[in-house]
Amino acid sequence: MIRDMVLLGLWGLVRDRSRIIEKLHDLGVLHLQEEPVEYVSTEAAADLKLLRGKALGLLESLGWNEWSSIPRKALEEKRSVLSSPDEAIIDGIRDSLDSFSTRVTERIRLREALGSRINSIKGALRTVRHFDSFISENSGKGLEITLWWAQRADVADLAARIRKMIREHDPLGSDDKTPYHLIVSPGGERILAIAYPSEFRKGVSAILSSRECLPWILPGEYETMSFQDAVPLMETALEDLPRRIGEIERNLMKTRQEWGPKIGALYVLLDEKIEEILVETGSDTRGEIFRLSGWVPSDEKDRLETELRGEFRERILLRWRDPHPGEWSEVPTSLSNPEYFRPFELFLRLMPVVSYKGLDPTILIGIFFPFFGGCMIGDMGYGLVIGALGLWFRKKVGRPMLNDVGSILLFIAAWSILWGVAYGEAFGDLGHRFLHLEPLWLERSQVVIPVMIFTISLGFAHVLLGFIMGMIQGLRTGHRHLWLERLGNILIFMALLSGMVLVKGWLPGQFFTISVTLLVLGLALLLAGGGMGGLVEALGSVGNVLSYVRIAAIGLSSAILAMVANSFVDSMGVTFVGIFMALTIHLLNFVLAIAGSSLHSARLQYVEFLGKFYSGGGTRYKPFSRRKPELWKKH
Amino acid sequence: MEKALIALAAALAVGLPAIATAYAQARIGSVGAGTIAEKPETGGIIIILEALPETMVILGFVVAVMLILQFA
Amino acid sequence: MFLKDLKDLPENYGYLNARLRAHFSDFLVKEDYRRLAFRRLEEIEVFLLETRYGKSFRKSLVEQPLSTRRRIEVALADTSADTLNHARKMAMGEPEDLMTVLLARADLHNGRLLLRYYFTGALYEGHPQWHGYGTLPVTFFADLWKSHSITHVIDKCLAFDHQLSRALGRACGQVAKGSSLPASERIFLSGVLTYLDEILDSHRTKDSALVRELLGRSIDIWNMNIWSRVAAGVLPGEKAGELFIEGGYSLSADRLRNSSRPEDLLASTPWETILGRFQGGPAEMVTGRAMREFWKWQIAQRRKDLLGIEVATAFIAHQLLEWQNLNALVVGVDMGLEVDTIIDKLVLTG
Repeated sequence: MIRDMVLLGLWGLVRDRSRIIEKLHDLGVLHLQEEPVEYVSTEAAADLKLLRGKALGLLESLGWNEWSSIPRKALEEKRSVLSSPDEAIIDGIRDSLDSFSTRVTERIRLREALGSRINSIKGALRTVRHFDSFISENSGKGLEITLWWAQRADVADLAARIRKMIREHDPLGSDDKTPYHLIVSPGGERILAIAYPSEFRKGVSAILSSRECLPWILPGEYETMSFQDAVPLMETALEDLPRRIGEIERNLMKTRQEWGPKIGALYVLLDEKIEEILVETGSDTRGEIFRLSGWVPSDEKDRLETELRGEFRERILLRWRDPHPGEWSEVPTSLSNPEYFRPFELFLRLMPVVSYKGLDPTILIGIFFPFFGGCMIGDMGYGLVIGALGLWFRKKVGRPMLNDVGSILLFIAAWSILWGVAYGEAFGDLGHRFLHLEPLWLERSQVVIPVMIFTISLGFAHVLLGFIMGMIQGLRTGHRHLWLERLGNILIFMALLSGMVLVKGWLPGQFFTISVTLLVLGLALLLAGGGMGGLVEALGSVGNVLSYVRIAAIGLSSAILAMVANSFVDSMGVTFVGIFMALTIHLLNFVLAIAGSSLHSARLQYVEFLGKFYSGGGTRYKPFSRRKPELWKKH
Repeated sequence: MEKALIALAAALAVGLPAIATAYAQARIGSVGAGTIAEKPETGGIIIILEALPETMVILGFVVAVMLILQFA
Repeated sequence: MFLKDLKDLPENYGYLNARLRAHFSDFLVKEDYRRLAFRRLEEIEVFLLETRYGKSFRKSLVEQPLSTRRRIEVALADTSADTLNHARKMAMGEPEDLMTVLLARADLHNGRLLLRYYFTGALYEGHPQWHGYGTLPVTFFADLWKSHSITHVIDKCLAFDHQLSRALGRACGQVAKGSSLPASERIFLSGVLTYLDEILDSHRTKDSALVRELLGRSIDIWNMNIWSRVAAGVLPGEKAGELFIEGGYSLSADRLRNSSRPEDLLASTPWETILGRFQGGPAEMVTGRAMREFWKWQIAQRRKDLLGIEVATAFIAHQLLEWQNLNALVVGVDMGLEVDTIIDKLVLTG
């Protein structure tokens, strides 16, 4: 059912404005006529938005996302602090957020710096290890060793020049060789290690630099050390640094747990306040008076009035009126259905919002969807498993969508069991074999035609119901073309029905004239209502009726697959393989049964049924209200 | 031999429309998904368009059942 | 085997395009720019904070003390790169390759920045705003920027082992030899085009033909740029011959060499439409107008084929244009320009 709406016009004093808006926010039933425009943000809103951005940024860098853990009580308590934020409060919040974020950022940066230090030490050690034996051998001889990037240099030539230089200065030098060692890294970079007496450091460096070699240096504080001193220190650092990172991480985790909910609460409050400020700036203000207007479900009217009167007494003026027909397209649609059928509102979420004066099909979907689905599954055993699955879904706390799906599954389960009784199926023919179950109606895997005829009749009735709904819809909204066309279709359907009954000889021949009259009348109405398009659509609806054969087809394949599963035990005996195969096929069949039946049953609702009368183009009812913490995830 | 031909005819009656439907639905599905992503309010009409080609298989199924029941 | 087949399914476009089409509504529209042009820088920031650029803003609000304008620039660059990289990750098979080609303009942009930097020799600390959605990683360019010597840049380019980096290495070699900047840029551009052509050659479809057309149009614009410099007398005519690039979409080498007025150059080509708007205007304006036209052409692809590369082409253009427009807007507002002057600098479509 679609709730009736009334339009509220509210006049109040400007000095009460923010309190009135806060009260409306608390009550959460008013759907504002003009959505607050984000562009007109006052200075205060801009400041708050920046603060909100900071708070959220802080939460993001802390990696905190447990919105549902914000204690509701804390929110209520702190709400009053922000209810009229002056500059001092905003500045205070900004300062504390800033100093907090500096601290957090410092730690995050330190963690990153330590991480990259680990990487550079690891990289350096990897390179140095290539030269391990070279270093130990030559440093034993008292030589100094340096490493160089030698991209294109001719290494042999360089070594010769260095040797020449050394011999020029020290002709009596005992060793006439300048040891060097060259490696090529997998990335194609060439690194050269060279050993020489330390007094030639400058000369060697000059020669190498002149040939486009760049010094390879140890990272950070190890830069000036010799390899032999640096390597053990680096190895110790590799053990020590991860420990320090771990410490910082624990610290951050603690901060996250302690401060996350608090900053989260601040974010929520700021967001609410910004919304209120936007509504305030959007209100129509003249002198000392301001005006707000919006839609309220008529069943909430009294509560809203009492609450507002209780607080603001005669300082507020409320005017109510029903919507004019010209306004119907603007009135928001709010659905209200009996508790049992409420889960089926899920189906309408895929469709455009139903218009205010449209017909809410939830209850009808709630009746037909599980009925068709159950007819396709038609197995007591599968029905019980689906029921168990539904119960499990319903127990999932805090997942409203899954709860709804669970309830829908329970409906399908009930109908599957009932249809299972009619077909005499429990896990295929297992029930028949062990419990001697006999079909109450017929065995669908043996007799196909009666089930097909039954499903087509079902389709006939369902589509006819759709047309009747369409006619009602047309009459309600005063769309003459719509109801004429739908009535024409109904008459043609009746003519077809009576025609078939006549052919079967169940009615006396005189009824033939009635059939023809119905047909002619129907065609005339159809043409008057929908023109040639209507005629084509009427042909299409015959196809729609045939489409219900799918119920029989899917049911048949499901029944046969279940029997195939059981036959594995027949042919392979009660062995592990036999039972395993049987269970696997049953599982497959079960998945297919749930997916196939719900998908096809849904299709029959959407295409064949709703297509006949559903009218979208409505506006979703979005009351000006505070969001629930668990919904904050989707910011 | 005759039975085999009838079975083949029935299989073709379901199989060929199924291939055609699959092809059409794949195309409509991919473009339809984009359309819904772009304009969620078109959801209803896209569901209908996506469902249209299915009628072929249903008719094929009816023909197949008729073939088997009439001749086999 | 099966997976290999899967890579070339036409449905790859279906998936990618569905996801891309969902995001077209995120882009700003004409009215947004108009309204923003009236606002102060701080207000523009607050507005962008509410959009998809928000995440980057929030990060810099918490982490770095930057000026409002710098914060906006960083957020625009980061978010644009993220968006485009994310878009490429959604593609698979042919569309992925074609998107690599479409996004190679980032490599071109980064490479040209680097060439100019080493060409002018004005080394300074700090770094430019890299375009982070290309094939070569931004860290590679940042590393080259810090090298301070063109010889090391060449070394690193050649050692990086990618066709694009080698092309950049060769272009840097030209700079080191003392060639002109356009000549070096031309070497880089040809290298990039050869690489992209190889990718395109492995897909002979109508979609790769479109991407080829887009490359052709880019070459046209490069050539028009050279032509207009010759026409304006900035560049001697005899040198221009070797700077033109073959393979343009509609401007042949002959036409480029023998035309002296925009009318001669562009008449009866797809670029003809820009002639009408600047009757008798200076020749230098040709490139700017053509660029505008090129953006519009890319964006107009959006609905041409819902199961083709057209959607991605338009998506990329939308994102890059939005970035460019917002940057121009921010600079304009920061300099206190008139609203009309600011709007005039933007390329607004749709």
